[in-house]
Amino acid sequence: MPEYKHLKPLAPWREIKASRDDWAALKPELGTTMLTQMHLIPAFEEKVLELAAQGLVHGPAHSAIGQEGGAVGSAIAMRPGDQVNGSHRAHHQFLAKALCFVEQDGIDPNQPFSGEVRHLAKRTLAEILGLAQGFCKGRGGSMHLRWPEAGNLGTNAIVGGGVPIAAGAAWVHRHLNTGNVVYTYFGDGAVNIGSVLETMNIAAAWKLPICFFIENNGYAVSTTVAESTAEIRLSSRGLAFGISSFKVDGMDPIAVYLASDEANAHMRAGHGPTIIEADVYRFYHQNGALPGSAFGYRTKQEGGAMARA
Amino acid sequence: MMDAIASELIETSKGKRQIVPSLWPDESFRDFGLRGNLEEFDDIRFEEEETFGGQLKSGVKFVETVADVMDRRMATDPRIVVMGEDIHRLKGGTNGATRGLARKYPDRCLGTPICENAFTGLAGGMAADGRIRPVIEFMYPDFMWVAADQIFNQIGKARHMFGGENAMPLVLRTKVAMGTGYGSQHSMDPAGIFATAPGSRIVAPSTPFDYVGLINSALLCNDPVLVLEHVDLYNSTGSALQKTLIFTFRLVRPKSCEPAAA
Repeated sequence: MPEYKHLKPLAPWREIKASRDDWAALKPELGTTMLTQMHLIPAFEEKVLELAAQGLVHGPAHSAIGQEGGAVGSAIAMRPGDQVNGSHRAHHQFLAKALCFVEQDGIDPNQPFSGEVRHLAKRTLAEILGLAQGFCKGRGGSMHLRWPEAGNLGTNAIVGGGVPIAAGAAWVHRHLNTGNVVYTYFGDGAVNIGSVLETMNIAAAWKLPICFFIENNGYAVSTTVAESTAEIRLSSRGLAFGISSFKVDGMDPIAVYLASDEANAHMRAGHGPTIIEADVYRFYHQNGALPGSAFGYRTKQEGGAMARA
Repeated sequence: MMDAIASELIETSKGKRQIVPSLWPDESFRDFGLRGNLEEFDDIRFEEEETFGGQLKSGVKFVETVADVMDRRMATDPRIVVMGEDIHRLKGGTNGATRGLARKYPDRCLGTPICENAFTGLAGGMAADGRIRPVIEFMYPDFMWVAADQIFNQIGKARHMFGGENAMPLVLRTKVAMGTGYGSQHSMDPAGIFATAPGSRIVAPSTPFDYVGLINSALLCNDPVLVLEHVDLYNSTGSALQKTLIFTFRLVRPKSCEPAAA
């Protein structure tokens, strides 16, 4: 009879939820800023989809409606010097980081938007439309949004392509002891590609201050997580690489904020990378203004249930 | 607010909604920023071996020059970081090209796991930051295919993709090992692939003197530079400088060289 010894992974893997006390303890300015961002960002996205439906967007319009919680909750926990990058579906993450940068004292929902916020929204929309006043002079479009002053390193159209680059930025922060962190946002589709897994390994080996933020919206275009991977709790990858990992309800920005805050403390202390898996829902199809159910890979009821939750 | 913003960017012409025509980028902007304009070379000293007036010593081994010049540059420029597989061990990697660097600059001489895609992308991220000048070594150019997305879709395209103003000062050193008997997967010359993909510059020094000039140019350049080192040249000898001198070679002027005696 062979003998067995159960082996324990190096790093912790935990689900994190916001308790009633956490809601009560949240600073009101953070709460109202998050609320405002979670209204402005989908309004922006709806405008993009409206213009796309009119044939005015030359290129894709990968909407992030339904996924704002992950972006806003994490952005609010960051400092202006922290940096982020994202994928082809990153308008919300770009905007959340940029909004925190232009309004470092928060946004008051009772006031009209400031000139800076308006200018940010206009320049971002201009870039998506391919106009000269955009952040990349119209060259980048929806999938290549970059504003380095605000910590937006540049979004990427190759699935998983931006992840090693984010780790390089994190290396510089560690080398120069800036105390800053980098968040690289990607989805359940990217979590199975080599560049992401290779970067998780080297980031952990070199203790880089990078958070691998997995936005799990359940679908890569039309392919489900369950079809694509055996362990569908995607934050589990951390166990393989010795990375402290969190699983959180991405539709609850307070919970995301708490996870990010804890991840930041870990990374700023020099303990290495973190993983945050945020469960969200992509209300529209991968690209454009039709719902996913129109393409047959999920039901209308699923979309409705997620909207009501 | 979004309605108001959109109305500033879109107009109705002949009953149809369209982008306000004057807001489009100029057509002449199309290829701007495929590579930088080399303005970083504006006030730099250029030399060529044929016309060099200073003191030279002969009989210097090519591969020793590779490590030597990197040592001199790293000594005075804290931004330079070298990285690659085993470059921190074996007395300078698998060919001795990084000899002595790990001992002198332990936090800037990084031995990587075997993960070309990740470490190449990492170097791209370091370069894009602006405070670091990374030098990656690919043990064999054939391995670049493992990192192809990072080299060609990310590093090579980054400047143009984001509007043309963002630098990507990365150096990629690799050795052309054809003739060493290692077979199909260790015999590549990558020049053709790089020459037909956007964004990079290519140098292929053939003497120790040229190596110094070209690597200095590569380290100064704000575009990605591929530095090809042929293994057959590693043990060759030539002239090198007696004293430390930073000079560069013009990156845009090809130089024809005599074939080596058999």
